[in-house]
Amino acid sequence: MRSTIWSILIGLLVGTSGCLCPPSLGEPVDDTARRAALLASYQPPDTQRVVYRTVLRSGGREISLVEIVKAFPEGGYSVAGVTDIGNTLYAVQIDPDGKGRVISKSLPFSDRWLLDHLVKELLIPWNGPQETSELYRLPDESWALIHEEDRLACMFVFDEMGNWTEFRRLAGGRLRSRISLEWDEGSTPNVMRVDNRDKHYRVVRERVSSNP
Amino acid sequence: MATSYRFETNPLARTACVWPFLLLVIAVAPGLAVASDASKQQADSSQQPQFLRLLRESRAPYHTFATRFIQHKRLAMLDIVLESEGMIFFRRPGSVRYEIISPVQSLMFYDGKKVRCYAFSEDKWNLLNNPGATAIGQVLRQIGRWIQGDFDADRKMFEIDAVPADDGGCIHLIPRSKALAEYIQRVEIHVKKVGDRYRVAQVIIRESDVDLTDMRFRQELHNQPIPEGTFTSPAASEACQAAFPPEDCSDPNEAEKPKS
Repeated sequence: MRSTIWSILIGLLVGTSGCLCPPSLGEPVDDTARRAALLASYQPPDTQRVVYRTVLRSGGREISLVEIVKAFPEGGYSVAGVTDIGNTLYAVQIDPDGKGRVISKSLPFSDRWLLDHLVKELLIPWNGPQETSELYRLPDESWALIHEEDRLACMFVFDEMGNWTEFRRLAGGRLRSRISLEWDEGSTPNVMRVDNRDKHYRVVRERVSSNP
Repeated sequence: MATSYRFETNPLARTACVWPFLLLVIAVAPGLAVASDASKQQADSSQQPQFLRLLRESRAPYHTFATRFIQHKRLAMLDIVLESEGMIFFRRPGSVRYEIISPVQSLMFYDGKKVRCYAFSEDKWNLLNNPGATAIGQVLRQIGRWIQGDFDADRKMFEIDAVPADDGGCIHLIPRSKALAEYIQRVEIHVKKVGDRYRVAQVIIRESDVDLTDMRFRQELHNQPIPEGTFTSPAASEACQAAFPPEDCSDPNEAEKPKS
């Protein structure tokens, strides 16, 4: 009897913690027209260079920096982070095939942390949904295009008007990171808020300038 | 890159390990040290102490000090130059306000003991629990020393090559340690002589052969009234900016102050 109660309690606990995960998305929606419309609504930034003001919070610590993205016409990016007083915190090169390498860094970020998280999240506006993405209807009535990448589900969330408002990365149904996007007139978000639950940090990026 | 720190979950936890090196260099002028053999060949060694003494004596009468600066950060990899503007306020014995006002806003206070760092983000000033606060405190203390013309501190970190000239001179700082030299090749402090006064007109921090930070100072105010809250409040930013006369004044210390 006692073991049964314990099983129920444990089951409830597991169920409770499971509520933190995104609910099951069910099957993809077979709506070719909507899927095509959402894919078409994503437009890669048409700017060559964007500067963001960034505040990074992790483990009760906070730093502010300026991040610069330079996109090359032939593909690929150069990305750098600079402190307010001019120190280069990191400089990264991303090749057209997506392969990245750290050119320099002066903070104890690991290369992987920089490339797979901080910089990858910064470049999200340039890396939209793929043609192979599948369409899903989310419980809050928004739409999502999802494709798989490096064993992670990359979810692009669109509001009812078809505006791209959020990006989520999930592993096995568990939310690893979430980026909310706010747009103004520009082709890059004017605000990006990152909640990286996997690596336990938050970032707020506010666009300072962009050059065509 | 010799840095071998690795961590995945808390990227800011160990930043204090590196920041002192980086930030102390930003303090630039304070880090003067004794001349190396090589540098002695470049300047008459007997003139170096005199040059530094004159600079120090020239600053001695100033109890308060303020200056604007323009900073250019050249990043060769991105083929860009980032320009920012800021201002520094100082009051003896060691209060410092170091503020970047554009294109982003950030602010650092030092009261002689503690440092407070702010970033203007999401339409408000945010007090940051900055992992480099201790190092930033050292930097701001050094800035205070530099303002006073005190170039004796931190001799252990840099070798000095002071080159006097008719219109001022230049002080070269060369990191002694290899660890620091990986981040900073050299710092150049350009001193200008105006009448019988000396002032630091430009600081160039060369991170590599191609990357550098260039700070140019202007509108230096001496012994002028300091706005209330300058060393305690982010909200004093506007008043601090208003403390500087129009750019076209030949001598900002003689200009009529705008009424706030």
